[in-house]
Amino acid sequence: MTEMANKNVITLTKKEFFQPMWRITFFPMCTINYERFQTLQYFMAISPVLKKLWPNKEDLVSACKRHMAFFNTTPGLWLAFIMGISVATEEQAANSSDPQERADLLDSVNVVKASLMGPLAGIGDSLDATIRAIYGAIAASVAMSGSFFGAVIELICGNLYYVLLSYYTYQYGYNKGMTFLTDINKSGLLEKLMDCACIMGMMAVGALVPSWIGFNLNHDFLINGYTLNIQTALDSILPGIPPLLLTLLFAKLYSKKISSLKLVGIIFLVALVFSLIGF
Amino acid sequence: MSLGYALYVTLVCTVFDWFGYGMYNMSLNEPVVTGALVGLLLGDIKTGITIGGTLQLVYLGVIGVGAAIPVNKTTATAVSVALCIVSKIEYETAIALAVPVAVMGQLSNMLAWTVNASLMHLGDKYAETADVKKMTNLTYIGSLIFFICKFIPVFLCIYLGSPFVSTLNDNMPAWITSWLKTVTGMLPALGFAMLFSMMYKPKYIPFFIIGFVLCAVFKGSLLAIAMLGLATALIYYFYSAMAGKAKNKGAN
Repeated sequence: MTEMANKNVITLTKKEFFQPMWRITFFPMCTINYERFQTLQYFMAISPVLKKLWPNKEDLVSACKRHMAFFNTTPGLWLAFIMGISVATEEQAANSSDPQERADLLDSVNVVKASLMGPLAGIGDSLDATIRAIYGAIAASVAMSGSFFGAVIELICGNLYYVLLSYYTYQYGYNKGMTFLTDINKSGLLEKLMDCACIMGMMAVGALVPSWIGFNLNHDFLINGYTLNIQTALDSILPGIPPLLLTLLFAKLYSKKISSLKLVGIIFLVALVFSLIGF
Repeated sequence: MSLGYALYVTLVCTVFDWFGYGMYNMSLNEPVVTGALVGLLLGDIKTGITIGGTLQLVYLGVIGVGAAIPVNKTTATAVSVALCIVSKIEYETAIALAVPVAVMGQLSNMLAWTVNASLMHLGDKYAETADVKKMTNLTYIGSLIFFICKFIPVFLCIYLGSPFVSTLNDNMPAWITSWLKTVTGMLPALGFAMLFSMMYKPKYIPFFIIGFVLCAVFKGSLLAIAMLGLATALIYYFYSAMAGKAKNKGAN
């Protein structure tokens, strides 16, 4: 049996190699659930490779069971990367002639998945959201001036970002796998990228605050024949103060674990007060 | 509204929503795209784009972290654009309507996540016999579950909601209209605040100030300021390597 496997080294064709990547990229979430999250999706994506690598029915059954273990991570940024590592390990195991080595490799498949998904998702979710927020904000500001081009920007940036990222991280995971992670940890590259994204993100948010929050204190107060317009007075000091204060206030409240829904409620109340006063 | 038209509007709304979980999202679930396309299909692009743009800003900071399902920006956008066009209501009212609809979208996703859990047990059963084909089919069923869980509540919203919303809009007292106008103006602050606290570290504050001043005082466009942001990030990237290493040496 081992001798036979030794002679027939199974190699994946280019099409077979990319199939899991396309599947996980285009159907990342459609069976997501409270019990095992993306598990079934992950299995569905890798299944063509498993079928090819494990022609023996018994091996295929254990491969199926192996990939039904809990899995969940950030789509786009990490999903394809971890998939690349899984495919590489499965392939190596299928072609290994030493039963002990094969068993060790197969054990490592789920260990690697489980040990990567949590920490990577922790960084991935916010890094991913920051990058998407930057082009999302630009698209939105174009759209609000009434131009259809806003939707076009979002479509182009969103798809390029997501598909290219999957395409490259998948191959990177397959080729470099675990060494990439030790490298990236040593060099601190990931933290640096996070810093870069946050620098851009913070400047974009800073720019969004004064122009896109339609909240001002435009109301004339008559004091002994003297008209005081609070907004004009504030503008002469620094334009955009009311939206800035509003944003910082909500940020403060939000960081104190007040839910966004409660904050929406607060907005409705504050707006009621302001509109009744006559602002 | 005729039943047929209500079904058409519901279908238009649900399809984009479906891309959020049921399929690869292709960015079709982003409010600015959803708004524009729902507007296009219902015959009023301008309304769709404006509402989509506004809601994109409101939900900029709303992301799903880990196992938490966020309020659903796509349902909110699709339904409020549809109601705004179909029932001919004010733009501000439509934005305010998005708030409860987003929660409805979140609840329907929770339902789908719960129903989908049953697929896992079928999957385990098929894994025993390595029936890969049946297991693959389960994923299509999962996708369909997301579609159904969205279609029904959105249909009720459109079919029952639109006459109600339209009468409400016609009899709206002036003070409520001005109230909702203020709400619409303030809502994006929440999106920015959530984004701000997600990225917040004291060391990033200077960049926030730079961005603010460039826009508020120098009236720079967002794209221009984002370009400056990119330049700043690149400066940091290329010039901080040495500083970082020197610091590490000092620490050791």
